[in-house]
Amino acid sequence: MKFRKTGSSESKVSLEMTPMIDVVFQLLIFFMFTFKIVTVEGEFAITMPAAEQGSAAPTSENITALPDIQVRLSASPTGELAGIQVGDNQMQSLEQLAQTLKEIVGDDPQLASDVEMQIVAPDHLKYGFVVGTINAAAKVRIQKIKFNPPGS
Amino acid sequence: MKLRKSHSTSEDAVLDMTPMIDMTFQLIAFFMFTLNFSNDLLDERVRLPLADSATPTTQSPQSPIYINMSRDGMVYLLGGESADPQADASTIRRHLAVEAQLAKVNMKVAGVDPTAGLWTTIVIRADDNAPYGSVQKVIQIAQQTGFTKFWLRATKSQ
Repeated sequence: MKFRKTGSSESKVSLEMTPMIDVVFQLLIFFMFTFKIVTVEGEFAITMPAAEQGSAAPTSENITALPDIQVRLSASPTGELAGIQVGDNQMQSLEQLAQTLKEIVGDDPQLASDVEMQIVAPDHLKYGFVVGTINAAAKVRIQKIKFNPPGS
Repeated sequence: MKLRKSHSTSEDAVLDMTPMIDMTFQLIAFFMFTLNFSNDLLDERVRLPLADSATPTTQSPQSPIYINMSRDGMVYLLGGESADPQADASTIRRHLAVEAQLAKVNMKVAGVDPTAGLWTTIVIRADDNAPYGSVQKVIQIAQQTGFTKFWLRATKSQ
Protein backbone atom coordinates (compact mmCIF):
# COMPACT_ATOMS: atom_id res chain seq x y z
CA MET A 1 0.00 0.00 0.00
CA LYS A 2 2.70 2.37 0.91
CA PHE A 3 4.83 1.37 -2.04
CA ARG A 4 2.09 2.07 -4.53
CA LYS A 5 1.34 5.42 -3.11
CA THR A 6 4.87 6.63 -3.35
CA GLY A 7 5.16 5.31 -6.90
CA SER A 8 2.17 7.22 -8.15
CA SER A 9 3.16 10.44 -6.55
CA GLU A 10 6.72 10.53 -7.78
CA SER A 11 5.95 10.18 -11.53
CA LYS A 12 2.43 10.88 -12.69
CA VAL A 13 1.59 8.83 -15.78
CA SER A 14 0.20 11.23 -18.32
CA LEU A 15 -1.27 9.58 -21.37
CA GLU A 16 -0.76 11.66 -24.49
CA MET A 17 -4.26 11.91 -25.91
CA THR A 18 -3.67 14.08 -28.94
CA PRO A 19 -2.43 11.46 -31.46
CA MET A 20 -5.10 9.01 -30.42
CA ILE A 21 -7.85 11.53 -30.88
CA ASP A 22 -6.40 12.52 -34.24
CA VAL A 23 -6.50 8.94 -35.43
CA VAL A 24 -9.94 8.34 -34.01
CA PHE A 25 -11.31 11.35 -35.84
CA GLN A 26 -9.69 10.21 -39.05
CA LEU A 27 -11.38 6.86 -38.69
CA LEU A 28 -14.67 8.46 -37.84
CA ILE A 29 -14.55 10.66 -40.89
CA PHE A 30 -13.60 7.74 -43.12
CA PHE A 31 -16.50 5.62 -41.95
CA MET A 32 -18.88 8.54 -42.13
CA PHE A 33 -18.09 9.23 -45.75
CA THR A 34 -18.29 5.60 -46.78
CA PHE A 35 -21.63 5.29 -45.02
CA LYS A 36 -24.45 4.51 -47.34
CA ILE A 37 -28.02 3.81 -46.43
CA VAL A 38 -28.90 0.60 -48.19
CA THR A 39 -32.55 0.13 -48.97
CA VAL A 40 -33.68 -3.42 -48.54
CA GLU A 41 -34.23 -5.05 -51.87
CA GLY A 42 -36.57 -7.94 -52.32
CA GLU A 43 -36.76 -10.22 -55.26
CA PHE A 44 -38.96 -12.57 -57.20
CA ALA A 45 -37.09 -15.75 -57.95
CA ILE A 46 -38.24 -17.17 -61.26
CA THR A 47 -36.94 -20.22 -63.03
CA MET A 48 -37.25 -19.77 -66.75
CA PRO A 49 -35.55 -22.43 -68.82
CA ALA A 50 -35.18 -21.69 -72.50
CA ALA A 51 -38.18 -22.90 -74.43
CA GLU A 52 -37.35 -26.01 -76.38
CA GLN A 53 -37.74 -25.83 -80.09
CA GLY A 54 -41.07 -27.07 -81.34
CA SER A 55 -42.81 -27.02 -78.00
CA ALA A 56 -44.26 -23.57 -78.47
CA ALA A 57 -47.58 -24.71 -79.86
CA PRO A 58 -49.48 -26.80 -77.35
CA THR A 59 -50.73 -30.06 -78.73
CA SER A 60 -53.26 -32.41 -77.23
CA GLU A 61 -50.43 -34.52 -75.76
CA ASN A 62 -48.58 -31.85 -73.85
CA ILE A 63 -51.51 -29.85 -72.58
CA THR A 64 -51.39 -30.02 -68.84
CA ALA A 65 -54.39 -30.58 -66.66
CA LEU A 66 -54.34 -27.01 -65.49
CA PRO A 67 -54.86 -24.29 -68.01
CA ASP A 68 -52.46 -21.36 -67.99
CA ILE A 69 -53.66 -18.13 -66.60
CA GLN A 70 -52.92 -15.59 -69.23
CA VAL A 71 -52.65 -12.01 -68.12
CA ARG A 72 -52.62 -9.56 -70.98
CA LEU A 73 -51.43 -6.07 -70.27
CA SER A 74 -51.90 -3.20 -72.66
CA ALA A 75 -50.10 0.10 -72.64
CA SER A 76 -50.74 3.68 -73.58
CA PRO A 77 -48.29 5.23 -76.08
CA THR A 78 -46.26 6.64 -73.19
CA GLY A 79 -45.87 3.21 -71.63
CA GLU A 80 -48.40 3.61 -68.84
CA LEU A 81 -50.67 0.71 -68.01
CA ALA A 82 -53.87 1.00 -70.05
CA GLY A 83 -55.61 -2.27 -69.38
CA ILE A 84 -55.39 -5.67 -67.73
CA GLN A 85 -57.15 -8.69 -69.08
CA VAL A 86 -57.35 -12.14 -67.56
CA GLY A 87 -58.82 -14.46 -70.12
CA ASP A 88 -61.77 -12.44 -71.34
CA ASN A 89 -62.27 -10.38 -68.22
CA GLN A 90 -61.14 -6.81 -68.02
CA MET A 91 -59.53 -5.74 -64.76
CA GLN A 92 -59.65 -2.19 -63.49
CA SER A 93 -56.58 -2.29 -61.33
CA LEU A 94 -53.74 -4.47 -60.15
CA GLU A 95 -55.63 -4.90 -56.87
CA GLN A 96 -58.56 -6.35 -58.76
CA LEU A 97 -56.15 -8.63 -60.62
CA ALA A 98 -54.80 -9.88 -57.29
CA GLN A 99 -58.37 -10.47 -56.16
CA THR A 100 -59.22 -12.40 -59.34
CA LEU A 101 -56.11 -14.52 -59.05
CA LYS A 102 -57.07 -15.29 -55.48
CA GLU A 103 -60.48 -16.45 -56.67
CA ILE A 104 -58.88 -18.66 -59.32
CA VAL A 105 -56.29 -20.23 -57.09
CA GLY A 106 -58.19 -20.16 -53.84
CA ASP A 107 -56.41 -21.19 -50.70
CA ASP A 108 -54.87 -24.31 -52.17
CA PRO A 109 -51.09 -23.99 -52.02
CA GLN A 110 -50.70 -27.07 -54.21
CA LEU A 111 -52.80 -25.52 -56.94
CA ALA A 112 -50.96 -22.24 -56.62
CA SER A 113 -47.60 -23.90 -57.11
CA ASP A 114 -48.83 -25.93 -60.09
CA VAL A 115 -50.63 -23.25 -61.99
CA GLU A 116 -48.67 -21.41 -64.62
CA MET A 117 -49.21 -17.77 -65.34
CA GLN A 118 -48.20 -16.13 -68.56
CA ILE A 119 -47.74 -12.42 -68.86
CA VAL A 120 -48.27 -10.92 -72.27
CA ALA A 121 -47.39 -7.27 -72.56
CA PRO A 122 -46.28 -4.86 -75.24
CA ASP A 123 -42.63 -3.94 -75.46
CA HIS A 124 -42.99 -0.28 -74.53
CA LEU A 125 -44.90 -0.92 -71.31
CA LYS A 126 -43.00 0.29 -68.29
CA TYR A 127 -41.34 -2.57 -66.44
CA GLY A 128 -42.78 -1.45 -63.12
CA PHE A 129 -46.26 -2.57 -64.17
CA VAL A 130 -44.99 -6.02 -65.08
CA VAL A 131 -43.43 -6.26 -61.64
CA GLY A 132 -46.78 -5.13 -60.25
CA THR A 133 -48.43 -8.04 -62.04
CA ILE A 134 -45.82 -10.47 -60.71
CA ASN A 135 -46.41 -8.95 -57.30
CA ALA A 136 -50.13 -9.71 -57.58
CA ALA A 137 -49.27 -13.30 -58.52
CA ALA A 138 -46.78 -13.61 -55.70
CA LYS A 139 -49.47 -12.62 -53.21
CA VAL A 140 -51.38 -15.82 -54.00
CA ARG A 141 -48.11 -17.76 -54.23
CA ILE A 142 -48.17 -18.46 -57.93
CA GLN A 143 -44.64 -19.51 -58.66
CA LYS A 144 -44.54 -20.39 -62.32
CA ILE A 145 -44.46 -17.21 -64.33
CA LYS A 146 -43.71 -17.01 -68.00
CA PHE A 147 -43.13 -14.04 -70.24
CA ASN A 148 -44.16 -13.86 -73.82
CA PRO A 149 -41.22 -13.82 -76.24
CA PRO A 150 -40.12 -10.28 -77.07
CA GLY A 151 -41.71 -8.60 -80.03
CA SER A 152 -44.86 -10.70 -79.92
CA MET B 1 -1.95 39.44 -20.08
CA LYS B 2 -1.23 39.33 -16.44
CA LEU B 3 -4.79 38.54 -15.62
CA ARG B 4 -4.88 35.58 -17.93
CA LYS B 5 -1.66 34.16 -16.63
CA SER B 6 -2.73 34.32 -13.06
CA HIS B 7 -6.02 32.79 -14.01
CA SER B 8 -4.43 29.79 -15.71
CA THR B 9 -2.04 29.11 -12.91
CA SER B 10 -4.61 29.37 -10.24
CA GLU B 11 -6.98 26.87 -11.88
CA ASP B 12 -5.58 24.49 -14.45
CA ALA B 13 -8.25 23.87 -17.07
CA VAL B 14 -8.54 20.14 -17.43
CA LEU B 15 -10.75 18.98 -20.24
CA ASP B 16 -12.24 15.63 -19.43
CA MET B 17 -11.70 13.59 -22.57
CA THR B 18 -13.35 10.38 -21.46
CA PRO B 19 -16.98 11.03 -22.50
CA MET B 20 -15.92 12.42 -25.85
CA ILE B 21 -13.73 9.44 -26.62
CA ASP B 22 -16.45 7.08 -25.49
CA MET B 23 -18.90 8.69 -27.81
CA THR B 24 -16.47 8.78 -30.70
CA PHE B 25 -15.73 5.10 -30.32
CA GLN B 26 -19.43 4.40 -30.32
CA LEU B 27 -19.80 6.29 -33.56
CA ILE B 28 -16.86 4.50 -35.13
CA ALA B 29 -18.26 1.15 -34.10
CA PHE B 30 -21.63 2.07 -35.59
CA PHE B 31 -20.21 3.19 -38.91
CA MET B 32 -17.90 0.19 -39.05
CA PHE B 33 -20.71 -2.29 -38.62
CA THR B 34 -23.00 -0.58 -41.09
CA LEU B 35 -20.29 -0.49 -43.71
CA ASN B 36 -20.82 -3.16 -46.27
CA PHE B 37 -18.85 -3.84 -49.37
CA SER B 38 -21.27 -6.40 -50.73
CA ASN B 39 -23.42 -3.99 -52.70
CA ASP B 40 -20.73 -2.79 -55.04
CA LEU B 41 -22.48 -4.28 -58.04
CA LEU B 42 -25.68 -2.41 -57.41
CA ASP B 43 -26.15 0.64 -59.51
CA GLU B 44 -27.63 3.62 -57.77
CA ARG B 45 -28.89 5.11 -61.00
CA VAL B 46 -31.51 2.39 -61.09
CA ARG B 47 -34.76 3.14 -59.32
CA LEU B 48 -36.32 -0.23 -58.66
CA PRO B 49 -40.04 -0.87 -59.06
CA LEU B 50 -42.19 -1.11 -55.97
CA ALA B 51 -43.64 -4.44 -54.94
CA ASP B 52 -44.83 -5.13 -51.43
CA SER B 53 -44.55 -8.91 -51.66
CA ALA B 54 -40.98 -8.90 -52.91
CA THR B 55 -39.31 -10.50 -49.95
CA PRO B 56 -35.59 -10.39 -49.43
CA THR B 57 -34.44 -13.96 -49.28
CA THR B 58 -32.01 -14.83 -46.57
CA GLN B 59 -29.71 -16.92 -48.69
CA SER B 60 -27.48 -15.13 -51.13
CA PRO B 61 -27.81 -16.11 -54.78
CA GLN B 62 -25.50 -18.71 -56.20
CA SER B 63 -22.64 -16.97 -58.02
CA PRO B 64 -24.86 -14.13 -59.15
CA ILE B 65 -24.53 -11.95 -62.20
CA TYR B 66 -26.05 -8.55 -61.70
CA ILE B 67 -27.69 -6.87 -64.66
CA ASN B 68 -28.55 -3.25 -64.06
CA MET B 69 -30.90 -1.61 -66.50
CA SER B 70 -31.50 2.12 -66.70
CA ARG B 71 -34.81 3.83 -67.32
CA ASP B 72 -34.14 4.09 -71.04
CA GLY B 73 -33.47 0.37 -71.34
CA MET B 74 -29.68 0.45 -71.44
CA VAL B 75 -27.83 -2.35 -69.71
CA TYR B 76 -24.82 -1.25 -67.71
CA LEU B 77 -21.95 -3.63 -68.22
CA LEU B 78 -18.74 -3.90 -66.29
CA GLY B 79 -16.14 -1.33 -67.20
CA GLY B 80 -18.58 1.53 -67.57
CA GLU B 81 -19.86 0.26 -70.89
CA SER B 82 -23.54 0.24 -71.65
CA ALA B 83 -25.45 -1.52 -74.36
CA ASP B 84 -29.00 -1.45 -75.62
CA PRO B 85 -30.36 -5.01 -75.68
CA GLN B 86 -32.75 -4.17 -78.50
CA ALA B 87 -30.20 -2.61 -80.83
CA ASP B 88 -26.99 -4.22 -79.69
CA ALA B 89 -27.83 -7.72 -78.48
CA SER B 90 -24.49 -9.16 -79.54
CA THR B 91 -22.49 -7.22 -76.93
CA ILE B 92 -24.65 -8.53 -74.10
CA ARG B 93 -24.68 -12.00 -75.62
CA ARG B 94 -20.88 -11.99 -75.75
CA HIS B 95 -20.62 -10.93 -72.10
CA LEU B 96 -23.12 -13.54 -70.95
CA ALA B 97 -21.54 -16.28 -73.08
CA VAL B 98 -18.23 -15.70 -71.33
CA GLU B 99 -19.98 -15.91 -67.96
CA ALA B 100 -21.80 -19.08 -69.00
CA GLN B 101 -18.54 -20.68 -70.09
CA LEU B 102 -16.97 -19.75 -66.79
CA ALA B 103 -19.92 -21.15 -64.85
CA LYS B 104 -19.69 -24.44 -66.79
CA VAL B 105 -16.02 -24.79 -65.93
CA ASN B 106 -16.70 -23.98 -62.28
CA MET B 107 -19.52 -26.50 -62.12
CA LYS B 108 -17.35 -29.21 -63.67
CA VAL B 109 -14.62 -28.49 -61.12
CA ALA B 110 -17.18 -28.69 -58.33
CA GLY B 111 -18.53 -31.94 -59.74
CA VAL B 112 -21.96 -30.67 -60.72
CA ASP B 113 -23.45 -31.64 -64.05
CA PRO B 114 -23.81 -28.42 -66.07
CA THR B 115 -26.23 -29.95 -68.57
CA ALA B 116 -29.01 -29.79 -65.99
CA GLY B 117 -28.79 -26.00 -66.04
CA LEU B 118 -26.25 -23.49 -64.89
CA TRP B 119 -26.18 -22.69 -61.21
CA THR B 120 -25.68 -19.00 -61.84
CA THR B 121 -28.48 -16.66 -60.84
CA ILE B 122 -29.09 -13.68 -63.07
CA VAL B 123 -30.17 -10.84 -60.82
CA ILE B 124 -32.05 -8.31 -62.89
CA ARG B 125 -32.21 -4.85 -61.45
CA ALA B 126 -34.25 -2.95 -63.96
CA ASP B 127 -35.55 0.55 -63.47
CA ASP B 128 -39.22 1.12 -62.80
CA ASN B 129 -39.56 2.97 -66.09
CA ALA B 130 -37.47 0.65 -68.23
CA PRO B 131 -39.35 -0.67 -71.25
CA TYR B 132 -40.57 -4.20 -70.69
CA GLY B 133 -39.33 -5.29 -74.13
CA SER B 134 -35.73 -4.60 -73.13
CA VAL B 135 -36.06 -6.68 -69.98
CA GLN B 136 -37.60 -9.48 -71.99
CA LYS B 137 -34.80 -9.28 -74.50
CA VAL B 138 -32.14 -9.57 -71.80
CA ILE B 139 -33.92 -12.56 -70.31
CA GLN B 140 -34.16 -14.15 -73.72
CA ILE B 141 -30.46 -13.63 -74.41
CA ALA B 142 -29.63 -15.09 -71.00
CA GLN B 143 -31.86 -18.08 -71.65
CA GLN B 144 -30.22 -18.68 -74.99
CA THR B 145 -26.78 -18.62 -73.39
CA GLY B 146 -27.91 -21.27 -70.91
CA PHE B 147 -29.08 -19.46 -67.78
CA THR B 148 -32.32 -20.54 -66.17
CA LYS B 149 -32.45 -18.88 -62.76
CA PHE B 150 -33.58 -15.31 -62.59
CA TRP B 151 -34.19 -12.92 -59.78
CA LEU B 152 -36.20 -9.82 -60.47
CA ARG B 153 -35.32 -7.18 -57.95
CA ALA B 154 -37.85 -4.78 -56.48
CA THR B 155 -38.13 -2.68 -53.36
CA LYS B 156 -40.75 -2.82 -50.67
CA SER B 157 -40.74 0.91 -50.20
CA GLN B 158 -38.86 3.91 -51.48
